[in-house]
Amino acid sequence: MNLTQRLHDCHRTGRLAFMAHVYAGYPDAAFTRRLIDALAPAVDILELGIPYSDPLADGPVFQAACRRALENGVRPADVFHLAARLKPPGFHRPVVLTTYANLVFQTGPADFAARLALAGVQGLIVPDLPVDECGELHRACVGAGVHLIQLVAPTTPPARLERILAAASGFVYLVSVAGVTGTDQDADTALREQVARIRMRSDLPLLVGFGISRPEQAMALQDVDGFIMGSAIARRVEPGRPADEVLADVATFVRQFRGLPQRSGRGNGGEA
Amino acid sequence: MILDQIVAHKRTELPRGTDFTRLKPAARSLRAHLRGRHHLIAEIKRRSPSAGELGARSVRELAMAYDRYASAISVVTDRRFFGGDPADIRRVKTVTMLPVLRKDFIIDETQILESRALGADAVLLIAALLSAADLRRFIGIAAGLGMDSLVEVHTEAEVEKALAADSAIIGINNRDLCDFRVDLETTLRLKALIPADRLVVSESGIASLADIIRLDTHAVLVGTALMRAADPAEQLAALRRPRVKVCGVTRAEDAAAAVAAGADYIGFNFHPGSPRYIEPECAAAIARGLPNTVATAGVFVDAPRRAVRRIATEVGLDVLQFHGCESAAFCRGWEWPVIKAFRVGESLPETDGYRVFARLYDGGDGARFGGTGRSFDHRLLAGVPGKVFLAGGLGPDTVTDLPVDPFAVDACSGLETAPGIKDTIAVEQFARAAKDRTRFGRFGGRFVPETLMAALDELEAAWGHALADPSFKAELARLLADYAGRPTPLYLARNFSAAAGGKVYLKREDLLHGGAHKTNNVLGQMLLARRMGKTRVVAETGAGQHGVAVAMAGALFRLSVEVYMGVEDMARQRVNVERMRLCGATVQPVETAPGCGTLKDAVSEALRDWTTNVRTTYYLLGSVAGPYPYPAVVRDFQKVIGREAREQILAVEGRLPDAVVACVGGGSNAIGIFDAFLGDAGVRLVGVEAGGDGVRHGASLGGGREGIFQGARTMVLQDADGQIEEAHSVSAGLDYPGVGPQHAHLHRTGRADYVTATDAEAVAAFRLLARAEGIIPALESAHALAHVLKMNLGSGDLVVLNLSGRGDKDLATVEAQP
Repeated sequence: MNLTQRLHDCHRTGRLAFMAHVYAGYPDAAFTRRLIDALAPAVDILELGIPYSDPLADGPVFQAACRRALENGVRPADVFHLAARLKPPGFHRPVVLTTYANLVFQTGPADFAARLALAGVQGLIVPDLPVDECGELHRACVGAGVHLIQLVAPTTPPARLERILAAASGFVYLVSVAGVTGTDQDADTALREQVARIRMRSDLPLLVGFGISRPEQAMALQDVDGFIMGSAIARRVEPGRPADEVLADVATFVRQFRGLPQRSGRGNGGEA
Repeated sequence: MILDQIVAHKRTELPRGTDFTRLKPAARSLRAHLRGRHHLIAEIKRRSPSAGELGARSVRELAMAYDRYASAISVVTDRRFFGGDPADIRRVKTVTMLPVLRKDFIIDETQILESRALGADAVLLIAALLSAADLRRFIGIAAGLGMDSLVEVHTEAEVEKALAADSAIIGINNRDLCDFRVDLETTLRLKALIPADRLVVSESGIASLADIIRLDTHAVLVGTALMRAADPAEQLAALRRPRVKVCGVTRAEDAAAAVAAGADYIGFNFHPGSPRYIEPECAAAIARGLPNTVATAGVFVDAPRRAVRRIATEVGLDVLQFHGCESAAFCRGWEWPVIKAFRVGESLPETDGYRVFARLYDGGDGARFGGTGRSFDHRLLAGVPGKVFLAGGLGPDTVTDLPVDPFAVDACSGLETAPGIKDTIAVEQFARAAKDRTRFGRFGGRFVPETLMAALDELEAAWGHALADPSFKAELARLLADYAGRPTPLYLARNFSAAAGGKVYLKREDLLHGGAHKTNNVLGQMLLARRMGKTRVVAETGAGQHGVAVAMAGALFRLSVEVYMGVEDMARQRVNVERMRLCGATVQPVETAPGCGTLKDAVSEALRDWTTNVRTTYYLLGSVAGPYPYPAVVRDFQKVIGREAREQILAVEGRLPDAVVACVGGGSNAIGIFDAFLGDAGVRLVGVEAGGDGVRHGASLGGGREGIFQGARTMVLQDADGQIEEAHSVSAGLDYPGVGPQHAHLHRTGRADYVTATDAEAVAAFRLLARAEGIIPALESAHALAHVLKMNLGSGDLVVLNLSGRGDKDLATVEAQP
C-alpha cells in the first residue's frame, strides 16, 4: 500500500489518517509482530521504531521501551528484517521507520536508505536530524525512493519553515512543544498558527504528533490530515500481563481512533 | 527632533563657492563589491547621538583591521553630531583598496560633488530627507561621477520612493531615526518589497553572525559593535564565515549547482592554455543567468591589458584574478577589484608593492597556473595582512581543518570529475563545510529535535550580542573578580614538581568560588539567561560541581534552578547534592534503570525538560559539549583560565610552558586553558581522559568512534550498531561517553594529544598532591596530575596543569579505594 495513496484516500473520504508508532522489540520481538497485527485494522500508517540507547526526543514510556528492547538484544538488522515481512498478503499498511541520527550515521546514509528501500519501508523519521544537518541523508533517500519526513515544531520560525518545507516529502510531521494538548493555551495557539502557515506553503498532508490518548483530542485538531499516537499504545503494553489480554486491550483501544472525521480549519468553532 | 537639528545644521555648512569642476570619476565600485550574500560593510564612526563616544582608535588602525574581512568601508563624516572628519575618507583609501562609502546627511547636490572631491566611491542618500525627484537626480549626479548611491530607507513608503528613483542599492535602517529604537524585523519586512535585481544592505543593531544569517541580505553595515570591540578585527571575523569561490566553471549546470550550494564567486578561466578555458561568450551567457547573490571572477594569465578589459566588459565580470607573473604596476588602475594569485612553495613569496583587493595563495608548481591541486603549508599564512583567498587542492574534507581563517576559500580541481566538469555533490559539500559556523572541522553541528532549533538560534544571537556589549563584559568581569575570586593563582608546586621531575605550575581553579572552574561558565551563561528574559534555568550535573555553581548563581540572580543528576552520581556526591539544595535549587534524580543514571542520562533529561519548556527555560549546559552554540559559548566563558595562565607563566618564567595539561570529560576546563595556547605551536597541549579500571573507561577520544551524541558529531563510546555505551570512571565528572567536538577536532588535527590515566593512578596522584602540597584536588584533576607524573619530565621542563577543582567532594570515594 502506497503511503501517498493512503493519505490521499483518507483526505478524499474526510477521515483523519492515524499513524501508530511502536518501538520494535518491546517487550520482545515476537510480541511486536502480534502487536502490529492488533493495530493494523485501525491504523493507516505504521511507524516502526528502531530502539536507541539515548532517545532524546522521547518521553519516559518510549525510553523504557527502548531500554527493554535493547536489553532483549534487538538490533537494527532485526527491525529491518521485521519491516521486510510487513507486506501483503499478511500486512496491508504503509510502513515508515523512525530512529535516531547516530544509528543512521553508523550505517552510512546511503546504505541506510538502500536498506529501507529493500525492506519496502516508504518513509524515514529521524527526530534529532534537523533540516540543517540532513543534506546527505536527504540525497540518499531521494535516490532510494524513500520519503525523508521533515518535522516542524510550533517554535519553528517562518524562515526555517520555508527551508523545511522545501525539503519535505511524503507528509509534514508537526510536533507539539508541550506534552499534552489542552493544558497549555500558548502552545495551542502556536500550534494553530503553525498549521495555518504550513497549509499556506505546502500541499503535503499534515500529521500532528501530540501525545494523544483520547479520540476527542484527535478530533479537536483543525485543518490537519492526521495524527500520530505512540506512547498511549506503549503504556498498555505492560510487561507481566498476559499477551492475549494486552493485545485485546490494545485492539479495543485503537479501534476508537479509526476513521475519525477531519475538521476543517475554516468551518465552525474555529476559535472556540 | 535630532534629525531636524542635523538637517538645519547641514544647511549652514554646505560647500559654497568651491570649484568641483575637475573631479575624476570613482574607480572602486560598491556594487561590484557587494554582489553576493552576507557581505560586511564596516563603519568608522567616532560618536553617535544614541551610543555616545565610540573609542579613539586611529583611522589607519581601524581601516587595516577592517581590510581583512570587510567588503567595503563606511566613513561617517559629520563633525558636529558624530565627531567625524571628512579627511578620514582619504586616510582609509591609502590603507585599503576597498570602496569607501561616505555617510553623511546629504540634502544638496554640492555635497555629492564634495564627496567625490574627498575621495568617496559611494554616498549615502537618506530617503526620508529627500523628495522622490531629488533622490533620482542625486543618484544620477553620483553616477555621473562613477559613484554608487546607497539609498537608506526605514518605512514602506521610503522603499517605494527608493524604487521609484531606480536605486540599485537599498539600505534598510533598522533604527527608527525618530526614537532611535532598533528592530531587525524592519529588514525582514521591507526586503520582501524589494525586487531581486537590487542589492539590499541591512543597517544598525547587527552584532552577531546569527543576525546576519537571519536577515540574509547582500550585505550588512556594522559600526557600533566594531568601534566598541576590544579587537575590531576579531569582532569582524566573528561576523562571517569564509566566502566560497568555485573556480574553473565551464558549464551552466555547474554554475547553478555552485549557486544553489551557496558559493559566493563563480570563477571563469580565460587562459587559453588551461584545460578549464571557457570562451568569453559562453561565460557571458552563464553570467547573465546568475543572480546578484553571487559574483563572477575572471582568471587571466599574463593576458594583455586590452584583452582583459574587453573580456571583463563582455562577460560583465565583477572581479579580475591575475594568475600569472603580472607585475604590481599591471595590477594597478583597474576599475574592477583585483585578486592577485601567488604560488607558495617552501615559504611565502614577496607580495609587497601589490596594491590589490586581495591576494590568492595557491600551491601549484612553476610551469602551470592554477587548478594543479597542489597544496602547501597553510600555517605560513598566519598573520598575513589584507584579504586572503586560500587555494590549492582544497576539497570538502580539507577545507574544514584549516589553521588560518581566510577571507575566502577557492576550490577547482578538488571538486571535479574531469577538468572543467564539476561534481555537484562535492561542490555542495565544499560550500557547506566551508561555511558551517556550527562545526569545529568536521565535528559539532546541531543534532537536536526541531523544537530546540529556534532556541539555539536565539541563544546564539544573544551570545553574539552579549560579547559585543561592553556592559555585559564589564558586569561579568566584576562578578568573576568580586564574587568568584578571579584571577586565580598560578602556583609553582615545588614538592609535587620534585616527584614529577620538571617544574609544574598549578592553575588554581580549585580556589574559585564553588570549588571548581565551572563557576566561570555559569556566571556568564546566567547573565545570558537574564538578558534573554528567561525565568527558569535547568542544568545537568555529573560530579555535582556544575550543579553547585548553577545553584549558587541561581540564588545570586534569583532565578529558579532545577538540576538533573543521575542517581548513581547523587549517591557518590552527596555533599554536592546538599550544597545545591542549600542554595535553593531542586535536584531532580535521573534513574534510567534501578540504581543507574550518570551524567549522560542527566544531559538527556535536561534536554527533554528544555524541549518541553523551551519558551520560559534556559538550559545552562556545563561543558563544551552538546549542540552548537554551546561548545563555543562555554569555551568563551572558560577561556579566561588560559588567558590568565599564559600571562602569569610569562610573568614568572619569562617563557611559554613546554606543555599544558588538563583532564577531559566533556572537556570545558581543558578547552578553557588550551584556548590561549592554541596559536603557540611550541606548547604541547595534553588532555587526560579517564582510563577507568583498564577495561571499562571514559576515553571517548582514545577508545571511541565518530558518532552523533547529545546534539553533536563527536567521538563517542558506542557499540557496533551505534548504541551509546556506558562510560566508567572513579570520578563522576569524567564518566561521560562523549567529548566536546572541539576536542575531537584538536585530536584529529593533532594539535592536542589525548592520553589516559587509570582510576588507580588518579587516586594515587590525589593522595600524593594532598601529602606533598596540602592541596586536595578533585579526582577529575587528579587524572591530569597522574599523567604529569608519567611524563618523565627533565629538570628544565615547564608544565602548566589546570587544577580544575578541589577534592572535598571525593573524600568518601577515595577512602573506599585501595
